[in-house]
Amino acid sequence: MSLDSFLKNLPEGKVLVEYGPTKHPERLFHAMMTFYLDSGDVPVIVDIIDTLHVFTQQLAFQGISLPIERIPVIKCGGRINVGNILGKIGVTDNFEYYLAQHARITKKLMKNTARGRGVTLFLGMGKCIMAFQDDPYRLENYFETIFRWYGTEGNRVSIFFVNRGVINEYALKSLEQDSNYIITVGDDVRLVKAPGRVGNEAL
Amino acid sequence: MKLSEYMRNVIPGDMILIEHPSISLAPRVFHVITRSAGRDNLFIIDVLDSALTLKKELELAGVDVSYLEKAPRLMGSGKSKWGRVVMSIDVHSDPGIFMSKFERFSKKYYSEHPGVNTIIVNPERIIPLHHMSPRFVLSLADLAAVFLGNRNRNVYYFVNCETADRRYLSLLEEVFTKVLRLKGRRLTVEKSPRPEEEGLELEIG
Repeated sequence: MSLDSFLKNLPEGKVLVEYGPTKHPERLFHAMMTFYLDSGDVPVIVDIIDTLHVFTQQLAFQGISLPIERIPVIKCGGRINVGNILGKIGVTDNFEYYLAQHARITKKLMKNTARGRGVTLFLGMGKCIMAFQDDPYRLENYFETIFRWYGTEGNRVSIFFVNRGVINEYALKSLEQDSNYIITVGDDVRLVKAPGRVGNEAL
Repeated sequence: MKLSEYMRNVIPGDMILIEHPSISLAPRVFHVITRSAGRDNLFIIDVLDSALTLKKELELAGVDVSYLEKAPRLMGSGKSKWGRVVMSIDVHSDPGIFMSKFERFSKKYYSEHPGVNTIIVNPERIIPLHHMSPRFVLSLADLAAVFLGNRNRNVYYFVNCETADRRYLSLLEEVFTKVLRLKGRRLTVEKSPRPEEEGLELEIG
């Protein structure tokens, strides 16, 4: 299956993108952004600790540019502003506070633009989990308060990019269990989980 | 391909991570990189005297390292007084303070010395000084990330992959444009913006 046909037929749900630290998740990010921009679904990016800056710079070193200036971005920690910054939230383990801030920012966005299906890409998810993953209570609290719940209302697509090297096994396995789809980025890009099947298919 | 030839492919702004074990030919790699990159525009960021060991090993192997005595050196704590010390930063102090001091100095240095080759030796050693705190690891890695895209300089990080915090190493690998891994006599290209370079084995020479 091609990535485009995967994304075209993706009605809703959580997609976990796991990548090895020396691999090229930015190329998959670029392909996904190109698909959504071409199909008129402008996604929202949640940029955790400058990951969007790292991805766009990695693309620049490969001679690839991405028209990112007008893409709505929610900045979560970090210092380099890329895209159209809608609002900023600090990296926090107060999840209720995070959700309230996130809702406040996205509400504004919903009012001002027609966003089609509502696709959100979270870049650098591992960094936010890393900050509290050594506290088992906080970690479970995160899955309960945010991850399992997020995106279950409405036909929303949420795509989470995670550097496998920064989170522990427990956090990774919990993310995998609660994701509807899993894509791995190694030497190639593979779909390893989809509803109703556990597979290993090149995208 | 020889490492010295590979160095010709380095483009302005490249950030190159060299991962080495404790027993390794890292000093030779350091030597080849400084020779190929140009010794008159080096900037050594020496964390806790780690570069002293590299320098000493080269001296004991009979290599002329007199150029290092003239090289501008930023001391990240440590005691040894070799090189031309241009700045001292206490890496034991409050992270917010020492990191902003470092960032301010580096930005100014890069704008005044375009094309400089910065070599940072064993920054991972600062992490235990701050109790392996995940937030500290994130900030230290982000300090590298904010310089990505600065085409005024090239940067080479030497990191011991056997002692470094796995999370820190993974964050650096994500940020850097190129990752070279040293194992025994083998130096391989693990990551590059050019796919054809990945997996390439380099002769240290």
